[in-house]
Amino acid sequence: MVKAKFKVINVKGIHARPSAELVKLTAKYKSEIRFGNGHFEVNGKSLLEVMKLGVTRNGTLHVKANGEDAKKLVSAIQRLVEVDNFNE
Amino acid sequence: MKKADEIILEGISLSKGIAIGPLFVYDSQKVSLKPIKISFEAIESEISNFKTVLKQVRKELQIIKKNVQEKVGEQKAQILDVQMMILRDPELHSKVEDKVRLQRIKWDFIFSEIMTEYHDSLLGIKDSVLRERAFDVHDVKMRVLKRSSSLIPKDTKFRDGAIVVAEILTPTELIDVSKAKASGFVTDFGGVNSHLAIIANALGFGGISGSGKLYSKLANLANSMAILDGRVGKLIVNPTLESLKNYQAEKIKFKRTQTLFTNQRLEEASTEGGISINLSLNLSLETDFHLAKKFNAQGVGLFRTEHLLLDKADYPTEKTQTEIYKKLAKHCFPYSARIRTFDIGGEKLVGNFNLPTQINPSLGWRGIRISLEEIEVFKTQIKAILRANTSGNLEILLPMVSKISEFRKAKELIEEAKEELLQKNKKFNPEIKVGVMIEIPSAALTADIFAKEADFFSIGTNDLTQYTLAVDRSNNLVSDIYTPTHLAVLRILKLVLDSAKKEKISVNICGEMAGNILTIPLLIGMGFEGLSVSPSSIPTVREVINKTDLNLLKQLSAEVFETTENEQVRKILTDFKEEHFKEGLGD
Repeated sequence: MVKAKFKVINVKGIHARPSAELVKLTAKYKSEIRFGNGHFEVNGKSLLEVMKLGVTRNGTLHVKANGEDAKKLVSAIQRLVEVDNFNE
Repeated sequence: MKKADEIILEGISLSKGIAIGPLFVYDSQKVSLKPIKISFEAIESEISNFKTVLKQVRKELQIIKKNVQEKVGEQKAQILDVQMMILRDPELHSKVEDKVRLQRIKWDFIFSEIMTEYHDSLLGIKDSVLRERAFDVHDVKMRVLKRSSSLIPKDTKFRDGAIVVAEILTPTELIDVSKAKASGFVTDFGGVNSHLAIIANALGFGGISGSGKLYSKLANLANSMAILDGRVGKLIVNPTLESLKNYQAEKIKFKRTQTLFTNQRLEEASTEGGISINLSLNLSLETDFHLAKKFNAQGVGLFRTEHLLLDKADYPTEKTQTEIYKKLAKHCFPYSARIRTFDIGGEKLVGNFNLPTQINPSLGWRGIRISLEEIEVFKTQIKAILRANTSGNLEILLPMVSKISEFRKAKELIEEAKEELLQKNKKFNPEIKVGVMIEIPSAALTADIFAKEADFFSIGTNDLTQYTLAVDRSNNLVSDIYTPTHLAVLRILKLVLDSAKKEKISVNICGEMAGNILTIPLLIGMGFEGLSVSPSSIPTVREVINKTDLNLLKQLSAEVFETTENEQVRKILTDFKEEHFKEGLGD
């Protein structure tokens, strides 16, 4: 199991389009993935669930991945959230 | 009776536009679904049913996305990606499947419950941007449920020009409401960033959001007269006479600037007076489709499909027709192509069809009169058009309509055709404009009624002239009194134009008058903005249009309408031609 926390710095937080970016990414990997907001966690391959998290700007995204490509997946998420700013 | 006081309410502007009309208040949230029990054996087929419907909706969204992409660009089309991803959501699928298995209830009820849960939990989020997305969830839910068997359809039976008030309006509902000829909308949810606002702007449909405050205030004001100013987000209920007058003027002014703006983006044939003319082609043969681009025409204003029947023993199949119409759409893109449904009978050529011999075929069984009886032939043609319309630029034109009930019946058949395509799982575009050919005086004289229901008019001046003057133009004994410039014909044209303008629907002329150097200046002077002509007339028409000044044309029209003698009309037009087009433009 790989765990990580990322700070969300894009302007509007994880609203629909960034959620969609996240889910598009997780769908490419075999590992199971859970996202959390500090209160509850959800299936990281479900857009409806990820939108429910409601992580806003400067909030924290908790990540738990489990599976053969878990490490790669988490570092790809790190890139998307902290470096590429959800491709905004 | 004492008149109610004027009430001014403030909201947020979602989309610019001014509307004046009665308030129509409805509860769009009410989804009437019944939990229907199923047998143990039916579980698996119920689940596969659920998957099929979601797949269909995804396909439908893909088509819409393509259209949106072409019209408003990539970024806005991405909104639809979110909806498509929701339809594929693994959690959603497993939740619905589990519950169908466990509770043995039809999928639609369970799906609706789960989507409502997601919708409500998104609404509970503090962040406003995220809250907006609750809409997309609601919209996906409604799109899917529209196809479910247990749903009672919501009515859009408001008066034309009504201002629709709803607590929540989804983008899909917005499109329906706008198509049903509402003039504006008020909703309690949806901000400037919402999908709803984007679609409303693309539709040019004025609307305001009440941020959760307007709906409750308006709920008991149904049918009150109101003015909606989408530019500033204001709603005036029970307006005073003065407010009404002001806004009627504002509305006209606003419309004019909008039109000017849209026209600037296209390279069009335009007169010096600043009016733009839409110049399109009349075509009959598949081999001529390429001419639309060659002559730089703005699409095809009339495609006469009866020529597909030439030398044929039977009607072409749905598949054959689909291919032909697809080709037409492709050649015309991005402009539209109006496909006139089979107009056999009358003086028109037909292949080896067994039509009864008629003493007076022009006044006999032809056009829509045949279509409404040969229902399968008509529906096959409609299905082919709907299937070919993947890029959204095809339109249906109905010939020989003489009364509104014929138009309504044809619209019903078009809906049936869509239903049948849906049942057969065929890919098609459900969005299509349906217009009327105005060529029978009875339709022309009741154009105000047609204008409220049709999406556009095409005036066939050849038939209109011969029916108005009771002259068979193919009969040599009387053909010399066949005059399209007869004052009676001109007055009828004016009447049709005014009705179309009143209801803001487009009108074009596709008879020979539109390509005749004598009559083009008059038609433009009268205020016609769409001409559809044969390819050979294009260069002449374009030159006439570009050489003249709109003010001159208006004077010409005024002069013509002042005369009381038909012979005088021809003289005025001939003099105008001599004076302005000496350099040998063809007659």
